[in-house]
Amino acid sequence: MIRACVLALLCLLWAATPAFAQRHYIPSDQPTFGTLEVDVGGVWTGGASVGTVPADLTNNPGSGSGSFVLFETQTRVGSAPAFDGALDLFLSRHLSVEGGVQISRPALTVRNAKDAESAPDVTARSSLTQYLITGSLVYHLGGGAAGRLQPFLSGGAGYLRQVLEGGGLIDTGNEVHVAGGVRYWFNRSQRLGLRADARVSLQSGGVAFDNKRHTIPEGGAALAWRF
Amino acid sequence: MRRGVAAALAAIAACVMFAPALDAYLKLGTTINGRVLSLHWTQLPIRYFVTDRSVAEVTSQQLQQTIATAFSTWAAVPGVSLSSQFAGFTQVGPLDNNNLTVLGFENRPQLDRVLGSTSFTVDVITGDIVESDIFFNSAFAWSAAAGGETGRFDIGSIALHEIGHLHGMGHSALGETQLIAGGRRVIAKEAVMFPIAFAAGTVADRTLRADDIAGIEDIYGTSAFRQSSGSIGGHVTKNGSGVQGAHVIAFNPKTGKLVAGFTLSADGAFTIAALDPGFYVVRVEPLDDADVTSFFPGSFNVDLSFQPAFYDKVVVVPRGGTASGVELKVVPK
Repeated sequence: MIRACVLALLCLLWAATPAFAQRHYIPSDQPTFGTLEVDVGGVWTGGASVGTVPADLTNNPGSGSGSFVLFETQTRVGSAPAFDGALDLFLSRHLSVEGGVQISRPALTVRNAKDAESAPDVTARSSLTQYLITGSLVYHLGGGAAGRLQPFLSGGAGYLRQVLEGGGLIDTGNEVHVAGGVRYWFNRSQRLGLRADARVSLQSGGVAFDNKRHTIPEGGAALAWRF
Repeated sequence: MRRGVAAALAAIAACVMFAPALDAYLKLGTTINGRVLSLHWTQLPIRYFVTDRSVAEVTSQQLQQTIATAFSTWAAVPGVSLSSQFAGFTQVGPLDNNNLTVLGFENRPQLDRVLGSTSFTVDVITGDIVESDIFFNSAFAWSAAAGGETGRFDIGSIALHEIGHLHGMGHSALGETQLIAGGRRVIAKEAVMFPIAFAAGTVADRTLRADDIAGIEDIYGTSAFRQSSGSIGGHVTKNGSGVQGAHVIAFNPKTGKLVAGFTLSADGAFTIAALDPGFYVVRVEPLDDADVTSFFPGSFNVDLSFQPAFYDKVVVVPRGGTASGVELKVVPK
């Protein structure tokens, strides 16, 4: 009896497979050259330490070389949510170029510590308005035929503009990034969907002064509208 | 007019050396008709004579070359309008009152802690500098050697300091010292205008630091410089009352520059000017690393009884403007 049931189930599964394949999502309007996509959403950007420097006095050469550290500072740009927008222009079913903009207001903090005269440690705070304008090349895996979930990979570079709070001072820098994510389309026309991605942005310049590229992790989600 | 000035020389010299102008960097000032005027040269170039008097290891020609270099070092600061002119050697000593600006050696063994000194004669009506003299105390051993000489004070370093005074700059307090028998010893400093010299044999004070540069720019900065630089203003208070004579330091982490000023009024107000635009941390400390009288007259009530502290906000100095409202609250020691 049990053997008969298993056999029947296997038969059902075998018989069901073509029917499942027939229900597979087939988009009616795959992207072609000239297709545009607008993504609007939010992203969380990670923070980074952008420089640790001491406030140095020159040692009396009569008693030794080097510096006397009056206190130390560690400067950091904090993590923050950001507005994220992008416009994709498809070059083919698989490939698009993307222009993006991110706007955020991360905290700028300077931790003052190790004071030679025992001033209590203090983390001084301010904020930045940060603009990141990017250009990317995006590869769409499956080319729009893979189903509702469409993964993609991208890479590119950007221009960083940081405006210090209050003073109106602008520091500029640059970045390169790689990203990967998926789009989920609400319907087979692929007009409206969700986009989720994770990105690693390597930024230099701006308020940073340690001459290093800083690794900024980012993750976000956006509404995607293709037309 | 000039006779009146001459008659008042002794009093003015003392007054001028110590009256702080109520402005940014600690500047030498004088009080005329109840107003504090910062001392600065309105007639350029500054014409100066050098006393034709040599000491062991430093000839009068070497002294003149050293002085010319020191004037040039100050004049070379970006954004300032300054010039000087060597008018010749003279037999006149640097302490004579003759309406001539004279720099030279003078033997003052009784001033056993004074390497050099700068004095002024000021027009008591206009506040203009009539003359300014500098003497280098030949009771000490001097050197003009390029790399310095062990046991001898570097005339180039001391000339740079004194000529800073001649331009109207007061003392900087950017330094750390320790008390030793008979005085203080410098541990470290970050200003040529710190009142205590490095040990004999070193030439480290031939180079201007950020604080010195800000000081001279504050006095002689061109209008273009003022439009491109900024300042920080605020108050230091303790238990709600102003702290007078507090030393306030602005540090730019991006450039590593330290520039400082003082609270110069009873309400604890301060301004630190001639700063590069950018973000700063601000720290306040009592004026306890040199004799208070090196900075202020005895009548100036300096509060030394509070703990050093940092300001809890990052201060952004705008281009051509002031980051005001920096309120530093300190606690008693």
